[in-house]
Amino acid sequence: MSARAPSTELRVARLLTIAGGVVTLVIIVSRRAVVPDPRALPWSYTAPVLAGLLLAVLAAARAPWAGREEVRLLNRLAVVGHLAPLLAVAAGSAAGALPRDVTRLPWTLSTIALPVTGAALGWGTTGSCAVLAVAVGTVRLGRLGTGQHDLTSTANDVQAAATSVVLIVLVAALLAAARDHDRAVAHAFTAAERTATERAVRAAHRRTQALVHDEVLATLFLAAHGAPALRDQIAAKAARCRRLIREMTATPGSVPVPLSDLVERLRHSAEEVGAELLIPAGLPRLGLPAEAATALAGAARQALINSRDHAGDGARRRLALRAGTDGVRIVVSDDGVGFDPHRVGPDRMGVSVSILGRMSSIEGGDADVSSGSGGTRVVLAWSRPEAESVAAMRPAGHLGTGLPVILATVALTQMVLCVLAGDWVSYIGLAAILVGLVVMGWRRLEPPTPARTAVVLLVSVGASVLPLLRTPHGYGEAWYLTGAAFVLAGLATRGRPLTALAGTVLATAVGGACVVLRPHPEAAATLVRPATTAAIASLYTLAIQRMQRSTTAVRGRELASLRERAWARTRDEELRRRSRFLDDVIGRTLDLLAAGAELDADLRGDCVALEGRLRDLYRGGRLARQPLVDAAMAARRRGVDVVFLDDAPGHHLAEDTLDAIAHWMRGHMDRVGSGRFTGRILPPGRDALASAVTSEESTLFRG
Amino acid sequence: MDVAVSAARVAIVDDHEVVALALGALIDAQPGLEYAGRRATVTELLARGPRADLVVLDLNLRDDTQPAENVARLTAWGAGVLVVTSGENPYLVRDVSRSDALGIVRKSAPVDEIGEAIARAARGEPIITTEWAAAVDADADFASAPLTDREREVLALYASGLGAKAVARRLHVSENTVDDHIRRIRLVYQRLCRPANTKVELYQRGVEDGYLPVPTQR
Repeated sequence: MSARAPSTELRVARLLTIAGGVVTLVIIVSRRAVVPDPRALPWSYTAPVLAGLLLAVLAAARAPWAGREEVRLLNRLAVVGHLAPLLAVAAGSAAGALPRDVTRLPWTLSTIALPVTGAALGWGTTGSCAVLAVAVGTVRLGRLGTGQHDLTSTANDVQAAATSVVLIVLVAALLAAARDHDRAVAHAFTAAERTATERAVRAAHRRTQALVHDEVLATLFLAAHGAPALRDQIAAKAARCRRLIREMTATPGSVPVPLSDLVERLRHSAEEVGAELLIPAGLPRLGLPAEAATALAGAARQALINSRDHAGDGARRRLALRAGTDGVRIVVSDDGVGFDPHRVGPDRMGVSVSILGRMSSIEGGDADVSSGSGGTRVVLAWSRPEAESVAAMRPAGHLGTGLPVILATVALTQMVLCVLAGDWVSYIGLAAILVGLVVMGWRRLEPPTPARTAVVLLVSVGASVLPLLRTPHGYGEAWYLTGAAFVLAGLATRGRPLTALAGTVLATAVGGACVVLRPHPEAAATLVRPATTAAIASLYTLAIQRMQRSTTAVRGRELASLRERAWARTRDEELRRRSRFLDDVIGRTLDLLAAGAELDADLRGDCVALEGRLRDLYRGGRLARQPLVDAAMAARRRGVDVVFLDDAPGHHLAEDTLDAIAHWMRGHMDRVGSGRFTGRILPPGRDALASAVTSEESTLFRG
Repeated sequence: MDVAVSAARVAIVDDHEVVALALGALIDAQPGLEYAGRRATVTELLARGPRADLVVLDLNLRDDTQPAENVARLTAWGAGVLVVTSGENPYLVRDVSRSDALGIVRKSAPVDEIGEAIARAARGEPIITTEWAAAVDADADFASAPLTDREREVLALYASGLGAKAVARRLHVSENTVDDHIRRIRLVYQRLCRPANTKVELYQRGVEDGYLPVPTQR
């Protein structure tokens, strides 16, 4: 396989890396808006912090072209870029070495969910847990040194830790689902390739068998037994065989047949039996694989002839064609005497089976025959092979114990914040958050019902009016707004991202109106942080959904193309192999016959021997092996009528045993000068494995 | 059995013109036989003639018909049927063995053997060949059929390639006795193992026998 699209795992990893970079960029750009602080930190302090954070942005910029290993490395760098200044500040703070004008930890460094997600992509779940522990410890240490003990910083850190835990679980589930999806796709690809290969071998076999049976054996038979006066006809037949063997390797499927050609053939068949032809104007310019066109035309003709012969006098019949860019559908119907498909004479069943058989032997072919008192209807369809078998990625199935972890983390952290805030409005906020979480329902991880969604939306947007009841003094006292945003984020990840996004806009608008009515410090932070949290979750879910759809579509196209290529490659290889074989075995004799050579005893003997040699391939089964093949050729040239029968085809015999049988049989055959020689592998359960019978003697091989 | 006073008319149903070229001459060369002509399908013969007392039928026609069905149509038409084969899979041979065909002959058998088989079939005699016996002997469905040990022995010997004379010699019985055994085996086979009702069934039997690749799920 060449040029296969990136694995789903890589696509997910890239998407998460890009999302991390985008969020980091948003944080860098909006940090002033979120924390409008008159006591601005010195540039000597913020510049290294920004430089560190920029690594995540650069990683995001590079990610779309990176491989899995590089994505891992980019994320590790981003984590280091975030943690290094954080550790420096914490260490400086612990050592009391921070500059005098540094009075707090930069807010941008406290967004620890970013390095934690990066660590999940760079080192996996264990690594991300370790980074979470280090980040939480360091942030708290940094706060200690800068003397930040207010509710705002605590609420910020608790929400950041809660977000981190949720993200660790979600990223792990996403990556696991992506790997699972990759495995399923690989499995589907292997299966498709194997099936296509098997079908191709069968198709090549059918074609060779038809050629050998219909042309070659008949020609050799005529050359062996025909009157000398037939020499010209024999020469013509032999030349035809030679040409057909050469043409076997010309691939009929390589040049697409225009739809108009198929229409012409259908028109001809319809006229032949007096059927009405219904073909819509403006058919698409469509090229069909030659084999599909042949099968459709042949099956349609067969259905029409079947209708003419069996539907009775006076029956009207019609052929309707519909074509789109991805397929063709033909319906042959009549209003004559129908038949019960389950209780029919073999003649009609034979035809329907052959119609079904024709259509099922091509990629993308399908047929249906239905009949009853109202007439008979045959539907023939061909569609460009599509990959219906590529299942979508299912992250929900990989949550496992992660789900209770998420719920417990969110519920507990919000309770802790509520207790820390300690005011009655906080309790209302907590109640709204818990109601939202419970109503969403977690037993089945499908999108909540519209009624449940409405309730979730109501409580999470409703929380935005709480600041009207009691004006908060800062971000900390309005902690419940971020908690409500978690509920909206949950709604988004549960498959309702657009609703969640609408809720976010609504909640922000309501919150904004409240701020206008009751202004309070850090109003921007209380609005922007929850809005960002919910919006990121919504946009992110949309991106994942879109990626899932595109992955499925890409895989579908790949699978179809793989199938076609595997089919064509194997068929061509098989046909070349069989063509070479036929050329080796009968090429020279056919050339002689085609040149009009005199049918002397030698040439006739050759024809008899070669006819037998080809026949042995069918009925002789495993006896068509050396040294029996050569010995049988020699015996047939001597005038011996050699018959090989493999009457235990499903019964396993070791190669050694088969070789022993062949050598033993050859010994007997070499002694026969005329008459008949029959070599047979006996059916299972007999007291011998094989028999060799001549006109004079019969012996058994017991192993 | 006496040779008919007027020559027996023999038609060929085979979609290979070349086979008819060789077989037609062979038929005309037999005393008491007259080659009536060739048709590519049974339907064509029944619709357009010529009338025939015996039809030499190709086992594997390209018109997707089934051997046993072709035999049934021809016998209903009033003709005897001798089937000729290019050495196809035994399940096709078995299918026709369950029908009322007089016998099965390899196209590649020695010419005089084919000629003799046609002449005997024209007289209504059953034609017992190794192909028939091997296909019947190896039929798993027939393994539990109520045959005597002697009958099984006769069938196995036939299947191994021995002719009636050699079988009789081997079993120290007369050729007539061997013929009696064979007649009963044919009858039991025809009664016990009905022809496949549909091509699907025939196909399934082929798969079970291991002569066809097992279809795999798409």
